[in-house]
Amino acid sequence: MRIRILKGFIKKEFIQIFRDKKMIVALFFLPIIQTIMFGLALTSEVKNIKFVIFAKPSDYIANKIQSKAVSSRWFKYIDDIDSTDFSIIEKTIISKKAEALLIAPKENLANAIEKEKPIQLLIDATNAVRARQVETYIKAITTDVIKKYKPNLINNIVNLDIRALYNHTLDTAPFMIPAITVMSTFIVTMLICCMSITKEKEQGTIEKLISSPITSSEIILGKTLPYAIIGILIICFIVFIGVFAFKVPFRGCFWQIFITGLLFIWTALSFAMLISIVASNQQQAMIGCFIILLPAILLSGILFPVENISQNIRWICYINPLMYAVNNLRNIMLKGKDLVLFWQHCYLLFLIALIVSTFSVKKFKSTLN
Amino acid sequence: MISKTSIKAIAFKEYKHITRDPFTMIIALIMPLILVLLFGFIVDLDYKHIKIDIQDNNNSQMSRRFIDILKSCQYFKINKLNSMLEIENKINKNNTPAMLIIEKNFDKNIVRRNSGKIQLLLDGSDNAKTGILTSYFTGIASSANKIYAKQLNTQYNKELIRTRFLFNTELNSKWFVVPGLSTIVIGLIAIILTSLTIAKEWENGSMELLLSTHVKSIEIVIGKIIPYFILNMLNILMIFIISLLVFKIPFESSFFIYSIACVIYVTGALALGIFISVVTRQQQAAVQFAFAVGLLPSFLFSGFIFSIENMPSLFRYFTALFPQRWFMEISRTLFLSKTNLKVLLVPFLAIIIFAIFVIILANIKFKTDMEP
Repeated sequence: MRIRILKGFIKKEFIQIFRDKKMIVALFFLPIIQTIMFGLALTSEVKNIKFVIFAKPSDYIANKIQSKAVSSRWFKYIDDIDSTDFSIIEKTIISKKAEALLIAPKENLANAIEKEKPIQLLIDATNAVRARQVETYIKAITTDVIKKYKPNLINNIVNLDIRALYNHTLDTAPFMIPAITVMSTFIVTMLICCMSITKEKEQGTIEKLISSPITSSEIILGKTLPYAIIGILIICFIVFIGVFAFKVPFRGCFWQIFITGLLFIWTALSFAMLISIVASNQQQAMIGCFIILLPAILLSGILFPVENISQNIRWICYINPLMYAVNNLRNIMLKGKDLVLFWQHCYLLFLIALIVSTFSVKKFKSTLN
Repeated sequence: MISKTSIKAIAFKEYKHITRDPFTMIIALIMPLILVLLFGFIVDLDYKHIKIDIQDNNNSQMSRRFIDILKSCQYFKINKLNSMLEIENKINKNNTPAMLIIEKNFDKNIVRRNSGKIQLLLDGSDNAKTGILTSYFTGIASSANKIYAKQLNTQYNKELIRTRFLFNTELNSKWFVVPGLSTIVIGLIAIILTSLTIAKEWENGSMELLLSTHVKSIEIVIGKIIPYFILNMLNILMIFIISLLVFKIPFESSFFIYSIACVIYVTGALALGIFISVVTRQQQAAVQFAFAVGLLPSFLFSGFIFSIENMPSLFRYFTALFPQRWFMEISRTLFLSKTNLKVLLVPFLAIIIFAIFVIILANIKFKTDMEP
């Protein structure tokens, strides 16, 4: 290992990457733009519920529910229609004018409550997750109104006092920004490293590298270190934006992010090398990245909680480096100092990285020689 | 005029490129299928066996009853804590999804005032989990209400509101995941496959050869799209058959309309890939852009997990740029509900406009590249 040669190699890589100005846009601006957009746009709070109440205009309780719904900021379109004709009811939901319908019985709601008759609530469940949330919101509002009207009817014996730790208002930015940091960095570093190695292969320049007096480990380091540096830079940018623009709390230490970042970039690059051994051209390399990236993202606990994945296959999640990285970053940013869990995740990440990288380095060296 | 023979020739050339590399073709055909199958089976929206901690400060028959109710619902694995010290330890370690603390006078308060208190601490670092847990615990609290009320002979909160979920009565997660995921996978594979085609020609220098022939830019664009179009339609067909036969998702609307929607959607996505390829001219950059446009936005801006309706209005309009959002709406509606077409007019218009717009844009950009 000669530092001078390695330096030269890394310089060559950087020149090659940044020769095209579009690469700078792709590597730095795209992840940042994505962070900003996702940070601003995504919320898990349900909004703009299209809600229709079927009741007579004189119905006192229905009006109360309606005004309560208007004053909360969850509903978008609230209407009451004076009809119990089922064909109209069906029409409103099929034409997507409403996603939730509250149907009062023939007499008015007050009477129905008096007699403890059930009130029907219809919800459009083409999006099952949203349907469940909509139900909770509407139920909360209606029970509130009914409680005021007849306090002894609703009598909670067990009262839950719910408090969300670390993120009291359940904002989405603190929850998504660590996830986006990990995903963007993983995607960008893996793609760029994999493509650049296969490019050398495709264009035959790798033969020149082999015939030059550079050792194979120097080639490997020279082909990965520049991308590791780029990866770390991307992480820094996104975390910086998260903390300053989105006010994501930062309760841990910076070195923790640095170590986690290094470890999972290491795994990303070893996966990239593994793909580039198999792939002979850039198209194959890209397809290879697709095969690894999509399941890795889906099984990382970012889009669905890991517990949503059925028990028999949950072990796949436990070999997914993204899961540990996201968990670690969320813990560092939101929860702060807990070194036991932090090192546990780091250790597992390290193990994955070590196994994948020794395997791929060995294979890579044998293809070089 | 556009000549059919040159389009055919370009398409045939591209077809040869694809078949020369069987690895890519096989993966492109099989991967979407495997992904949809796998995730259709393993993603389950009900989540079970959640480890929770309970500190019972009351330790009476009443409080133990509550813990029994928790145990009987199978959602939870219960870990009992024994002292306040342990609570503090657990909280400091930050490693518990949920912690229940039953107050000291729980039983007395229930008997005297009909109101017992339980504190529930949730880990707020994962919003998705917190939401699900909250709804589980409220459900359990209401069933506990009933049981205690019977015991005490008081009036209890009758279920006044009866909910019926339309189109997906049991909130079956497969019906939710499969149409959504197939939209994303098909869109992504269409974008990344074509994103390299033109960049590759530039990089290998074969573009110069193409330019010296009399082929027009629009003919190259169309000719390059056709073989990938066929590949993607095969994909859609296979996924569709699987959705009906394996996942038993009902298909309530007309096949004809669905296939038209697929044709437009796939064309748009392929054209987007070509556009990226034309603009970047370099495979490395093309791949970065293709994944940046196709991967994360199609998960997060399509309404797959995060509903579009929840976003701030500016971003609701912004997501309109992504054809995935519209196709997601079309495929969910067509699969699950008998709908009248008026509802789908806007989504259909949107994907048509997107496809035409991107093809024209790619063509214009390509033309200026080709003329010296």
